[in-house]
Amino acid sequence: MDKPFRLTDAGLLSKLLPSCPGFELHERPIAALWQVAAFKGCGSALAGKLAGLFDGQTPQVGKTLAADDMALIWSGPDQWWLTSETQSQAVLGERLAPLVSPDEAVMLDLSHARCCLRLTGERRFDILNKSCSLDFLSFQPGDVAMTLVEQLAVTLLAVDQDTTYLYVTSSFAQALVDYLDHGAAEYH
Amino acid sequence: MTSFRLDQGGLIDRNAPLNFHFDGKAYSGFQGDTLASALLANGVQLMGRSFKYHRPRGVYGSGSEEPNALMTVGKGQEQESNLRATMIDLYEGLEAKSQNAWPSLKTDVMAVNSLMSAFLPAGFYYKIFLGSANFWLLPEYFIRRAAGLGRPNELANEDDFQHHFTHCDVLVVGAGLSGVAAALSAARSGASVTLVDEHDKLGGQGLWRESSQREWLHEALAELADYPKVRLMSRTTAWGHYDDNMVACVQIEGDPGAPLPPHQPRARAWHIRAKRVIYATGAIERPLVFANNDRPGVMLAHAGAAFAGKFGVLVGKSLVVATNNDDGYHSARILADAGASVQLLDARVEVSEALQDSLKGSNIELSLGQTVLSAKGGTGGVTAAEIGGLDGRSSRMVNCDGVLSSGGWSPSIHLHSHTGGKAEWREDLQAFVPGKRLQEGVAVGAAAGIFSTQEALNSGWQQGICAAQDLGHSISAGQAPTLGSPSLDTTPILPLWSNPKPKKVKGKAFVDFQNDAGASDVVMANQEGYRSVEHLKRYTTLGMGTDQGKTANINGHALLAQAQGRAIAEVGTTTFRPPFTPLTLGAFGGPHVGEAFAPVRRTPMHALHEASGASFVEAGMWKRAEWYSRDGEDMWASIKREALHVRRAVAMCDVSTLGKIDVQGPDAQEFIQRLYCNGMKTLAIGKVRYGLMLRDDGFVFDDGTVARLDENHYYMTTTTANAAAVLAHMEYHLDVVWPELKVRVASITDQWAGMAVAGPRSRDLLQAALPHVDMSNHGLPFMGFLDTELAGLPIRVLRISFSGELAYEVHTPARFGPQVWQALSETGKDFDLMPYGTEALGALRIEKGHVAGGELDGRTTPADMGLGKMVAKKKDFIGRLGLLREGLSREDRPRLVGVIPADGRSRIIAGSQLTEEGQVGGFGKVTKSLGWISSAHFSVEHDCFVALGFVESGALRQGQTLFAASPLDDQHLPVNIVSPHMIDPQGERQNG
Repeated sequence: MDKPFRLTDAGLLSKLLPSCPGFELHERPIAALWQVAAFKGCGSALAGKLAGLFDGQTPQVGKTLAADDMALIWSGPDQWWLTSETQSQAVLGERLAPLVSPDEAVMLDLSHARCCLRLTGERRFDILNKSCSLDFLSFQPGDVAMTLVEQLAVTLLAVDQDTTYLYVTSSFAQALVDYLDHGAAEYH
Repeated sequence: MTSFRLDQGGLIDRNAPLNFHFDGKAYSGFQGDTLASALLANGVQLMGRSFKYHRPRGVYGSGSEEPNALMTVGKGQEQESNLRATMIDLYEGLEAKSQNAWPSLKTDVMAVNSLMSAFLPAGFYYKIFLGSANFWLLPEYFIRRAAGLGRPNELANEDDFQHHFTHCDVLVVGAGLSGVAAALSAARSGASVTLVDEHDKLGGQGLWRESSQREWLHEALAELADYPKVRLMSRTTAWGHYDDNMVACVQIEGDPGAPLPPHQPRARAWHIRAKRVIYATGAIERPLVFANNDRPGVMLAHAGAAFAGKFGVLVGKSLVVATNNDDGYHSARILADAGASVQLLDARVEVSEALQDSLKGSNIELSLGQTVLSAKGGTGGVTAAEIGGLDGRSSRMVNCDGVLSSGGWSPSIHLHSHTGGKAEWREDLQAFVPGKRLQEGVAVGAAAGIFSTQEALNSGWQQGICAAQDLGHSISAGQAPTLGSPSLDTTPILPLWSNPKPKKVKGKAFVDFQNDAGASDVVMANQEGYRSVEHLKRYTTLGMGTDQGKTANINGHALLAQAQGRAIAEVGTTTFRPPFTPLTLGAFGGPHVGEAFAPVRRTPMHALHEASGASFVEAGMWKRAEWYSRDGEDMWASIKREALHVRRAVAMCDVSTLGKIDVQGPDAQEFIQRLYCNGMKTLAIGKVRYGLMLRDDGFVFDDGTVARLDENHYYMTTTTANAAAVLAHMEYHLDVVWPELKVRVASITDQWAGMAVAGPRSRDLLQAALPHVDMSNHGLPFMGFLDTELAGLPIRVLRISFSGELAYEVHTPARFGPQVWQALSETGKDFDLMPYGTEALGALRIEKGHVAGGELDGRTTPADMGLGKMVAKKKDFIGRLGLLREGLSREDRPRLVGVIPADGRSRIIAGSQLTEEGQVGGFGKVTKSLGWISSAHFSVEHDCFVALGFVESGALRQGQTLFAASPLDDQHLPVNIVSPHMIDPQGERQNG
């Protein structure tokens, strides 16, 4: 039951995702997505413990860390997402749990609450900037932004120079894809 | 024919002829023409009728300042009105129509207004009001019909409009010499640069004024185009400058009125966030104000020069050019060089030698101390001008086919003003220039009052470097180029706001052409007490309309100052507000029209509902299955079938849309206690409790359930509509009110799918689906829950009921929703399971007396809804003090009741007023209301409509007959007041 999941596979999202010259959209599977949130004043302590999962790299505001098919994504003040495309929700939860002291933080399974879209191609920023006010010139690999795309709250992740991940709440995934499709239409 | 195309010159492509129509007549022009230049080239001078007096008008300017030549372009759904002919780039097949004229532009019946202009001065309609407000109603219709601009297109616009955000270090608005210089120096310094201009070609008048300027512009623009961090945008109007240097622009991508290929946007709205903004917006020439200065063939001197230089069109062969400043000499020279016979009138008695020398080699006849006093002509254009000295005497008539005037230049300070920047009067320029600024925007070139070509270029160059350096870019941009254009501004401008009117000459001297406001109107407004420029604007409409007084404001304000004997600086100027020029509304809406107006939210089971024939209803952004049609049923048949099936057997409803919130932390219990007005402390792990949440003022905010998963872990549900508001409410209290609590909350609405399984056979169905679980009343009692698996998938079963029947909610992680739904459906075949939608859900809960949105309307307390006993007495909670207010605890407050039609068949309408007999007056007006119907639906148990409502002293009125009055529906229905629990008042079904 914890196999990597894609809304497209489940028929919850159109299988035919839009593309045009210079832009491709694919759904990335989410096997697990845990949200870990610290109580007030406990953010640094939690960040220090999470660093243990990433070879001692300390999580930073607006940044992501990656290691062992895991990514730690900043998702708000004193809050991160630990996500993986292959490690199950249970496995990842077991790795996370020892780091989360009940007095310092809480962990929450959001594996089903988000859809991850992978955007590639040089046109992707043109299309995103139709409804997203982010300055993509200064959005460098490793950066994370919680912003709006077409009135929808999303988390954007600059994976590398050519790839951007977009996390959107599952119930809005199809609406967002429809918007991106419309935005890409003029480039066909 | 008084104007024509020159044999050479201009930026048009003579190898690309274009055909177009104006008022049904065929014409031709060239690629690179505007509609205005092409019409002039064809000898068409009459292009419109004025707003009020229907006076014949021709083109007056050459750009976005144009007040007269407004056109309707295109046909069908592409038709657009009030477009300036000077800003419409010609294209093959363009169809344009004149406006505000009937039966034809040349013979306009309403031109009779012009003859009555003495009786129709500025503000005449206000004076009609003074007599009798009722009298206004009679002429209003005719006045509104007679006055006006183009008619809006009433067809739905199916064009595509896009929005776009972008960022840059330096935004340069205006791509004339100073703007291009600023962009180039900033780009060379290493800054990211965006350069926008409203015209189709970047470069401004430098492209056609002098070859040295043209060559440099071509090189500079080519260099700019090679920078990866430079964006060049033509046909883009920066129409508003907002906080934090956000400049709003609209880029025209599809010619107005032209059909477009699929997905080609008509226009794109840009939101440009710049660290620095440079206004290279130039200046707008002012006309001289003289009698009949609105005749076709009268125009701005610069416009005449621009038509010759940019489009190769001579606006007249024998021209009178009147000026009070040096720039009139430039324009006269260009026109003379193009082949016109030019008589140049300079109101100044003395001018510099250098200026006079600039005319050498031309056939321009210069007269000093002379100006134009009146123009003569009609719909066919100007035939003569009366010229003379400023004393108005010794005038003489000269034949001409065009009168051009230059009354000085007004820097285009609009964007600076949008940010709250002040305007400063410069006596030497007789113009307002940008004063104190509030944002990082700086003017260069003519926009800053710098009119010398080289100095304007230098100012742009320098400010481009400054902006880049301010932002940390330190690459040397080099020196500003020298274009070798000497400054001729050697003789000061002569302030000249209204020329004397010769005796015996009839006709107004217009200040604002678009609004037909004349110099006499300004004087009259002042006499009548409208002494402020803002009052002047509202009374005379001077400065209103699509051109917003671009050519009119300074003249009007100066005339006001003159009338008051004050300085112009003292009188001031009106506030410029966005937009700089008219914009198509489509650009504001962008792609958010029709189905795309707002994002659609779908539940995990959405596709299954579609396959089951569901009709959907919008619940917030959610699409919820409203009912499921079967075998050609109509809506009511479906709803009744579904509701009855819940009461008699078992049915299933998608409740994934309910808000779901995760609450965790050592202080979670305390937080939950404070959040709800009813006791939560005793809620045991594994149990669910109904909760009522109040606002600070004591009124009910929301309701839902709370399941205790663990010692410090709760699983809350809220109403669908209030999910976001409740989460915000909780976060606010944790962040601001009780920051000491160690609690984290998070929305998990998307994490969980939910389905209600309701009906007397629901237990049997679930027991069959979950044979490994004890589903008996003992195993899972009412308000209990358990976590288990169905078909190998994790589920949470909560024994709660909204319908009043034996019922369960099955929640599962969202991705498993469809599988769990299908698994239950499969098992349910043995139990005749069917889906039910929100309509049946509403009908069932109303029968049962369960409150929902209609009752939780922000005006009701727990006691009003019969839930007063739930409110805890011994704890503090949000809203406790508010609830203690006397007015909220009165026994005679409207309280929840059930309502049944006395005749047992009529439909009760939600929103009806509840009243006693005799309390409904004329037109159904309720004279004394006792309460209202909050929600109503058809009851399958009672086989008639039933309702919930609130009525004063509710419980005491049970058994009474009142009236449900709905004046809007012309209904006055006798109804019986009953208990709100219209089925199973003891709860035996849900508890069973």
